[in-house]
Amino acid sequence: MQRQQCPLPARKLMKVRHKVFNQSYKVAGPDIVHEEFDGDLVVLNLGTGRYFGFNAAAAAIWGGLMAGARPARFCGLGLADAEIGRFVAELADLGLILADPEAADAALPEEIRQALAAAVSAPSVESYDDLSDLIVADPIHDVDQETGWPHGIRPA
Amino acid sequence: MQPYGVVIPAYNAARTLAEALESVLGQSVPPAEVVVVDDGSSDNTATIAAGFAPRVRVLRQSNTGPGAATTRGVQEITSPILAFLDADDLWLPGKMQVQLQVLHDNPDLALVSCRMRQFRHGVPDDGTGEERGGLLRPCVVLRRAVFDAVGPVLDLPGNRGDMVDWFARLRAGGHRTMELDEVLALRRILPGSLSHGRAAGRDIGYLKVAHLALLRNRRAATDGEQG
Repeated sequence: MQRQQCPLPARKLMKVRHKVFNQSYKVAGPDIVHEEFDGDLVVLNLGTGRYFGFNAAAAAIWGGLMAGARPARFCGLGLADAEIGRFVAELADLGLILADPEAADAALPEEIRQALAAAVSAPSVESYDDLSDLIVADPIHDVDQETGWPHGIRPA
Repeated sequence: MQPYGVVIPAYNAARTLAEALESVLGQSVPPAEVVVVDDGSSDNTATIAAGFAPRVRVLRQSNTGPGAATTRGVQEITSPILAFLDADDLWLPGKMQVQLQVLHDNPDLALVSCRMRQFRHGVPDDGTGEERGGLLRPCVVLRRAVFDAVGPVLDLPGNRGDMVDWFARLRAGGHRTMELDEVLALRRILPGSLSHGRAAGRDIGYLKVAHLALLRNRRAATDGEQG
């Protein structure tokens, strides 16, 4: 598969953009968990209790990043390059992803390619903190409960 | 003060249940009803609970999770005030007296919570454990009508987040809550039971709670635009 190259307007911006588009990413740590429910992607920071809802384009980019594809592979499929770069930077700013310089570039899964091609609006993420205190306070979430709940006392 | 009923969902809690029940029955304002819901334990949880009859009623169900067990217990309670306790935690003796008084003095209050202090299993509480506040099942005392308005406690994948979801629905319903700055319950910690890493796949319950909240927030935003 030929990697897509994004157009880079100015020398300085070029360097920044080149970096954003041409490196792999990973979730920013074990507190960042994600799951799709009925086609709806939810990302949650267990450490802060903040959660995020993604629209279709955003979910496709997230899926591509999680598959190990570098953002350059998302270009030329429908979304504007600037939208892609802005959104990847936003995910990093939100503390959801980190650059993973050691990781190899992976191919873009076909379903992600199709989702990016079908995207009708720019990627966007909603951020909520209305569960934060409840999730952070919940004692269960940091306790091993292999053998029982609520708090997982192991049998003698 | 109004009579209250206590629901204790229990699963393989034979080591700790008797102590939990003694902390309930030893309250300075004793409960009118206590229901232990044994959620298909493979140990003698039910036998231990039955040893406290007739003051304690025992229900048994096949293993479905803490949410269903809590809801099943509430269905058995006829008192106008509800309280919960996890089978491995403890109440301090004056807990219910304090919280019942708060509900009595604040008729518009739906629920009153308190703080918990950690203690190590096998070591008596010495008052130095870490304290934790917030809405927590062993801490909350609420009006029965509020529980009915919010609806059943839903079990979520991985048995995590059931009360987070219920409390989130309580808030979304606009019910007024209050958290006391006083430690009235104790949370048991067994050395080695704390997981320092995240359990992959087990936190999906919290993700499900977040998705349900996301859908509620999106609905509210749409209704706001239309309204």
